[in-house]
Amino acid sequence: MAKTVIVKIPNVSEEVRIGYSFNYMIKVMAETETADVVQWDFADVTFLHPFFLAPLAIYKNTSGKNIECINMSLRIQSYLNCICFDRMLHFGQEKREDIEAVMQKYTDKTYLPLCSFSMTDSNKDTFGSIIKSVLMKQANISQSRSSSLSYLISELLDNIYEHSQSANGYVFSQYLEREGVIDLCIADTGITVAGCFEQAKLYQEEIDGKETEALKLANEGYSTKNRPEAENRGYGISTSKEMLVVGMKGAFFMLSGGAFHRYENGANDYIDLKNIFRWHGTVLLMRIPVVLPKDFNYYDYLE
Amino acid sequence: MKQTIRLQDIYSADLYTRSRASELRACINENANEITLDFDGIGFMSRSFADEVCNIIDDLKDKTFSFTGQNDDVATMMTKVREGRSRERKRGIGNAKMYEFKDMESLSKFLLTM
Repeated sequence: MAKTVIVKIPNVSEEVRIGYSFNYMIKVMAETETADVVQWDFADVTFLHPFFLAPLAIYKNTSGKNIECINMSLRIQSYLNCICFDRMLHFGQEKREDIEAVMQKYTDKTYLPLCSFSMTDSNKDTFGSIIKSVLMKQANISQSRSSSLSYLISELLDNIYEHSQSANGYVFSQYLEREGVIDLCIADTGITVAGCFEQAKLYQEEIDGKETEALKLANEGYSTKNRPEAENRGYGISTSKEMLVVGMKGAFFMLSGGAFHRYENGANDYIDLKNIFRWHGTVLLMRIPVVLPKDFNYYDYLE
Repeated sequence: MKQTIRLQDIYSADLYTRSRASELRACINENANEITLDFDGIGFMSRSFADEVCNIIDDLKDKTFSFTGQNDDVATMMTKVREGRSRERKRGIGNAKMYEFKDMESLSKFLLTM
């Protein structure tokens, strides 16, 4: 009989520093990896930070592990039901109006529920466009200030469509009104950034088997899909990060395979996790300020 | 022969993904030599979409392309992407720091400083 491991879920409040979310997220998933049958014990939990919650939920839904949630308060249970923690919303080949009808329900909420979406061609633009519209309504972002939000969503979604080879993508967001930010998570369970370079047989000397080096190359704008005559690709991640962090004063985090990247407030770190935990795919976590700095100009970040 | 392609008839008001842009190829009449892309009603065009439009234009050298109905965002995006493709890419000198941790304890100590 398979051994059951009980993993304590820590209380990760919105007040804690972002590093705590990542610390607990990696800890919980690393502990969960050690067994096939796991109970997540929510006895201590009164709040779950979006950057902790989103990867946890995606992991629960995609790892193939038998994970039971125990000792949840009614409040937490109700919140997790609302955000579809156990059973994500899934979008495949639906018509635009059908997706809009489902998502319309969330325009007066502060969160986007956990959504998975298939990587089919017909809905690629639709899903991103609808997400943007819902986030704009939730955070009261006017049309004239929406370009940067559109830019981030379009480039980062397109990146997973183009490179991840994942069957599905995943999205979750939580608008934190007091902090004036949208915490947005976009993830996939694909081949990872390092896997992408490896498959294309590019930059292998520079990468030298290190996933952190691959992540750094991708973040600096090196692509696997340039045209022969021009270095026209690889702008998506690098320009999005600059716009978000330097221009909008937000924060950007990326977990891919066994590598983690942090770009915020002067920090530009690449962390090798290979001995501790691997995410089978890529997770992007963005803290997007709703009120933009007065000197922010969207056009300055277009290349 | 002239052809006008109204993008709003094919897409929604937001042009997001590269692969959707590549669908434009199939809409171009092979006998047309002057193509107008009409962006009327389009609110946003992503960088990836714009770059793929440039790929199509570069690949179909026997045709001339013009644009109409672009709002400021769409026009600026197209201009920036076209300019970017014709010059050498410059990357900022990063101040990246690389870290490697042997165990959860040392990683935790680092993460808790963030």
